[in-house]
Amino acid sequence: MPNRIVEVLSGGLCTACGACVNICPYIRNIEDRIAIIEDCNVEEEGRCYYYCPRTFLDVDELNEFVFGRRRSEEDVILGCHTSVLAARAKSEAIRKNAQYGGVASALIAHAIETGEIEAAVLTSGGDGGGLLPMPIVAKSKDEVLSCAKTKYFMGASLSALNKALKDGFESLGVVGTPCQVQALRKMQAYGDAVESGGIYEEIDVSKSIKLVIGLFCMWSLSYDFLWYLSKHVEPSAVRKLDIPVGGFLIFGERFKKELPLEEVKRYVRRACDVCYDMTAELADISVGALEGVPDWNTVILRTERGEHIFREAEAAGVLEVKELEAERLEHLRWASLRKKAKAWRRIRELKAEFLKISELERKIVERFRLEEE
Amino acid sequence: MLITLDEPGREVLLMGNEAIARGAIEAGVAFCSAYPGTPSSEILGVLAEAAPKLGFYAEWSTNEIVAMEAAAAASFSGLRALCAMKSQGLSVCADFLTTLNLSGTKGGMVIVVCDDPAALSSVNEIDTRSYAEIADLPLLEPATVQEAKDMTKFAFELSEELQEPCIVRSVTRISHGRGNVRLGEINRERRAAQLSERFVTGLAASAVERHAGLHEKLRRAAEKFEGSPFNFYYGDPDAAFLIITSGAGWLYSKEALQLLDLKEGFGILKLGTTHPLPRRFVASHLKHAAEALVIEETDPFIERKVKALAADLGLDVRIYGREPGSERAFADAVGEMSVDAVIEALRRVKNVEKASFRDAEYEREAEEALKMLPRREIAFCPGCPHRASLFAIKTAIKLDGREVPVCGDIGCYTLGMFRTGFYISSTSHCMGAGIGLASGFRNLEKPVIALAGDSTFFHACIPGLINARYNNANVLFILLDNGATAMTGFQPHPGVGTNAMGEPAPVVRLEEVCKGIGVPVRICDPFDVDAAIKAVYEMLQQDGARVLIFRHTCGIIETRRRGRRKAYVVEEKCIGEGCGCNRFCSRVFNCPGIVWDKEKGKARIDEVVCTGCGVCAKLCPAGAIVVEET
Repeated sequence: MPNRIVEVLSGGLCTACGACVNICPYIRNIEDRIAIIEDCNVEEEGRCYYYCPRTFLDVDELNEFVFGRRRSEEDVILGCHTSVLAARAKSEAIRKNAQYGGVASALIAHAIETGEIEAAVLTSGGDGGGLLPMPIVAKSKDEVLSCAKTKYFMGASLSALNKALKDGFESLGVVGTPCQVQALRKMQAYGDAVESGGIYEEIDVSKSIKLVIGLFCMWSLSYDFLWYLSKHVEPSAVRKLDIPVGGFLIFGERFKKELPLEEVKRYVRRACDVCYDMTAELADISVGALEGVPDWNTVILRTERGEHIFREAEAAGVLEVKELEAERLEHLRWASLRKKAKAWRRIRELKAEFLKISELERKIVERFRLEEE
Repeated sequence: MLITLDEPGREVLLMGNEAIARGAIEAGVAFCSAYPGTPSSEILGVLAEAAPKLGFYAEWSTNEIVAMEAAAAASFSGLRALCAMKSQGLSVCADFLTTLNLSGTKGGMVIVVCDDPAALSSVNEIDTRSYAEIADLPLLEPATVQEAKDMTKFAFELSEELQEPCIVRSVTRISHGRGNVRLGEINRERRAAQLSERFVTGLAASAVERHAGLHEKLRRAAEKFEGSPFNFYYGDPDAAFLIITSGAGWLYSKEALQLLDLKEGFGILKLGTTHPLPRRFVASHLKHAAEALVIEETDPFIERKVKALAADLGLDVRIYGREPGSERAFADAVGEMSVDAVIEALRRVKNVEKASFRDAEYEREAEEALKMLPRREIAFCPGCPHRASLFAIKTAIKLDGREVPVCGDIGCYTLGMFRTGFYISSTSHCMGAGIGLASGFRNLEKPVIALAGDSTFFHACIPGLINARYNNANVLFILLDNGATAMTGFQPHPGVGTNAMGEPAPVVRLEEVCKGIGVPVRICDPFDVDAAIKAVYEMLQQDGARVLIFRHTCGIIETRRRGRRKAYVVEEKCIGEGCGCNRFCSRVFNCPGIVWDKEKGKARIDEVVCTGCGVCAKLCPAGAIVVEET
């Protein structure tokens, strides 16, 4: 196993996106842990290397692949996009069950119902109250809706994508975190870099993924957090977690509890420290919170495909859309750039070499860092 | 069944262990007990089969010391009793043995111990004869299958006469060798059991006085041995060169002299009663020798005694043996003897030319034939649940990331130290050592895994588990419950519901024992690979002593019960050597039921050995292995 996957794992850079799981028997995962159980003895770099968002990430190359162009100065902070707006699911039932406005759930459910995709790789709540991520391949609206709400843990959900591809699905949607979106764009862009026979002769990753919805993400928590959480509440009684400005909220059926954010942050996965992407810049559509407005989402439409699917859903009455106020957009840009600047600093500290950005982009990011300090 | 044949005088071909069993039957044995262990297991195996027919009792005991205690109780009540075990089993009994000798016995009690020189199927090659010395008990060493029977019978008589247990020490080549045996009469006398005296040691009975009494009994035994037919002399009556030998060494020595055509001036002193040594008999032959070569397995036991005897008597004889450090050692005191080893010894001490006994053509052909043998590595059987269990453990340890050590134990899963067991074990010693060691690794400050099979658990692990619980050791004790004492040949044990004689027996459940000790218990089928990995991983995150039972019937038993399932590879799906597999099933999971078809570049199922267990099908990344439902 010559590849940099070993370094990614030993260096604590693994995002537990799951792109390397279920592509071979040598890499296995449990919870947010990925491990190489044995050397595969393959001499050349394999799928794991090409799929992993932390072996190499050439931002311009991937932008060319997804958007057909390199990033301009305008694209650096929020990634290439056509519009930024506010939206929510029209269905109150969806919204009631959702983390915020239910846009991701509504879009995926609609795409399945209209046949745009056969199924979607999502992260359900798993056992024990829905706190912990469990990847599933959802084929119906009900299954999609069962996956609503943010999971603050990583669960290698792309492993389910790999399995779905092997099972013969040819038209899939995926909802994922920014690192997962990076990984599956790499799967599409470099999938044919590795040759091998057997079952892989029938799989075409680049064609089989038809819709990518990215979720805004600041960080995720390690499973050690459960130990901390259990000192305050019974984890299986938790129904929802949320991070409004400055706090960490826990919701159960009959209770609401706040924990100090600084304490919670001690359990942030170290791999998140080098994450340069808050808004899932390579997705077709990115969806996140609209701060201070609990039942709406911020939505970034990025690709033609994303724009088409979103507008079609809007026209079908699935979504309710409104403009995003300039002030909110400015705040979003500030938050995104701040994350980039922090990540860039950490990457330099660690002498990590996976991220390749243009000179232009580097200057923008470094300038922010200076201003902030 | 040959050993129950009631035809005195008839010659039959018996295995050494069958001959020992027949000897016990001819002695009228009433009680037999054993714990299985190669090369001893067949003794109780055949006795248990004969027991209902001849009306005596036989049991597989939980371990050797219990077997010996149970046999001793039968002896105390006046019955003739035999207990059998392998060499290491006697070490398990050492504590009882060295008090049993002081209390003495009543009905003839024979302890049969089968040593394993060269450790062919053991963790050491310990020589039982030293225990006879430690315990001051008489010991007999059969040199032929006939003697195995005759000595066993005689041992009962001697034991009854001395009121002490008598040890019969066999070795692999005697126990597992076959030879003609002239049968004697079956003793059908059935005594009534009766406990009419006290068998005590300690404060009520002076150990020192009894120790002295033991020595007196040994003197009586030695006197009896002076005229024993088990000791005899062969060859030139006034030989200047003497081979002194016992056990398997007797026939090796005889054959070596024949091959080398050494007659004049050579003689063999064959000893069957090696503890205590018949000193006058040995001295009578040492007196005509200028040189003596001692051929024995494995320790220089006779050698030391003969040297001491020669020194006592002031005899001028050069004695060659294998005493480490001795100027006259012809080899180190390890491993088995053989005809070749005797010839090599003669070459060294007598300058006998090697070329004179074996022709070069034979040597060349033998060497060629050796090359034709395929290389086979030691491996779990196809369908073995241990392969799946150890794979799950190895994977969970990798996922955990803390390099959790694994303490192995004795059973098929001892192979955890080899490639077939993914090199998982860091330690492997004796029965029950795994859990004991694991509870002592506390300074590593991480969890430690201990392994034990079901039979091993009952045998030796319960105090270790209690210790782990009591002292709050961070131990995950994984019981590999395959429902069998598989390694020694599927003898029943307390967990399986039948006894040695095939009668239904109460089942002692592993999980109930563990729960009784107060440790959390989880049960999982190792063939459910993902769940098994998850179970180990999750339990590694816990603290204190906890038990995971991997329960799946031994592949051999399961295949006997339900037959084989057909499995095959769908070649179009098989990834072969490419990224995404690279021969995972045949290279890493490494079950002998899967072979790599080099020409096709695909995996192939070897239908001759595959049991159709289906674990490889679950691990195949391409879903290319299909198991047909039956």
